[in-house]
Amino acid sequence: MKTGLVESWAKNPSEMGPLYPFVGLEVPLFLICFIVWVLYTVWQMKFELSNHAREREDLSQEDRLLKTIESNLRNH
Amino acid sequence: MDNELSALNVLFTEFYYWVCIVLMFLIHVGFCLYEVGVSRRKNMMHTLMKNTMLIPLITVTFYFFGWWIYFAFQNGPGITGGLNPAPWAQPWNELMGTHMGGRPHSGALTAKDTAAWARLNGVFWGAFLIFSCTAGSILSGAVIERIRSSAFWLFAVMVGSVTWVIDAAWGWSADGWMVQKLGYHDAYASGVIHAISGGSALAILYHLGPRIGRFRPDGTPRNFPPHNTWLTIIGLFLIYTGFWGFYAACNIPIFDVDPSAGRSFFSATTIYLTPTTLSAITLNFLMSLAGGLIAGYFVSKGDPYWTFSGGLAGIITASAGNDLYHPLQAHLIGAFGVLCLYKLHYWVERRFKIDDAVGAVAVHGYAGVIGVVIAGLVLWGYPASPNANYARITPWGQLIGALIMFFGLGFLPCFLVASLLKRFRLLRIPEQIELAGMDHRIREMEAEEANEIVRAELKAAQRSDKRETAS
Repeated sequence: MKTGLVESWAKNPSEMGPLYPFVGLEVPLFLICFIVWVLYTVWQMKFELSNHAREREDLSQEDRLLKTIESNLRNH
Repeated sequence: MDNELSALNVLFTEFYYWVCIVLMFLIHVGFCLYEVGVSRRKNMMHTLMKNTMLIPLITVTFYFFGWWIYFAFQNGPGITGGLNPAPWAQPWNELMGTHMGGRPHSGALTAKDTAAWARLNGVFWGAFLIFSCTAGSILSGAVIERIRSSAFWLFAVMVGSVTWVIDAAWGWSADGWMVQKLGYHDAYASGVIHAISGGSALAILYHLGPRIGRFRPDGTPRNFPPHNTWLTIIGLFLIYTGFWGFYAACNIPIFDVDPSAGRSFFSATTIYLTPTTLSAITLNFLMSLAGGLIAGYFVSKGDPYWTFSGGLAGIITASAGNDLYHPLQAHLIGAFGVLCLYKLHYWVERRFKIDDAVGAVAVHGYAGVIGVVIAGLVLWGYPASPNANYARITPWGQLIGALIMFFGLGFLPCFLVASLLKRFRLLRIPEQIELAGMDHRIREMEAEEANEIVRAELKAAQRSDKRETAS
């Protein structure tokens, strides 16, 4: 079994082309990476929105926001 | 690669860009330190993550489409021609991987493509990628402490992997349509990186609005002092250092500038293939830095923030023509730019209530525009390219170029996207979170964890006491 086009390093190097494995599968690889990027972007947006919703709920509790601001002032 | 001289030329060029990329990465270290230092303690981690994550996001998107746009869009398309074929820059192309430059495996490539790009594609790509990240990072500082991360990263990808790349294709390549038709000259990217990023930042800031408490009821701005001045200053020093690497990366180190009639003359060139020297740009870089620092100190009456930012803005103002200026010209141009942008910054801030947390619109945007326009006056009549059929440098060509950079490709696209995001409430974080601080959950969790550890230590101490008493 072999994954690349390289037969031998002793071969004339000026004849050699791509050295990486799985030559010919670049388009499917690209599609996988592109889809991962799109999915990550969607996940990140949802993650941020849900985090913000939780934080808002948390900060809406009685005096919570005021106490946090006072604590920030002490830590400043 | 079959004789020592040609191998040395290729391998030196490859190594040259590799070193420049490493140096330029310091720009991002600097930006992170600077922004974290400027932000308030309650927003530090969010500020750091916002800037850090633009690096991987611009990296993948620049790989997916940015690099290809740079080569494909040089004619507009539709202004001086159609889309240029650029198979070596397609994300699935074999020349994006390890390659020895021999026979192409893919039918889209020629032997000439593989010989030319096998060893240089990756380092050119890397250098441009760092330029892209810089463009994104310039936006980052302006909008700290109130933008949603997802909105910011969308802008970072838009500017870093699309709009700035289009302007580079048009005005920062040997055969871009702006070079051909306008004689646009911007050797070290006053306009193509700084003006576009400044224009983009201004558009986002317009819709984003100021931080809570930034303006008094009478409209005068309150100062938000940096929580750590030392971080900001070290950050700016690192940005200077990375910028130096950027200057070298904008050059081609060895190129035959006189291939006609069997003659040869090898020199460093700009990206337009016009000759310059590393020696000249070193002089001009330092003299414009000095001019900017002195002017920044003078105009701000010794304010450290504006003095350091003035140094950066001095270089940016002189960058468009720093391949050709005399060092004394670079010095004066750098200083003049800082005097103008300082006044402009405060006028825009008060007039339009724009809260630019780090002065990015001024330091990058206004300095970039001023620099491009000044280059048109000082370099009036110079050939913009070795190609005699292309337009010469003129004040009007540069002015049009500066407007395309700042407004056409910078302000306008970001204005439209920011207005859409604002409409769907996806631009700015909720008010309670802004007031509490974007790190408040992290800080609470850290405090809980620290308390838990202290409680565990207390219990351990009590057990230890009991054992000692018993023995």
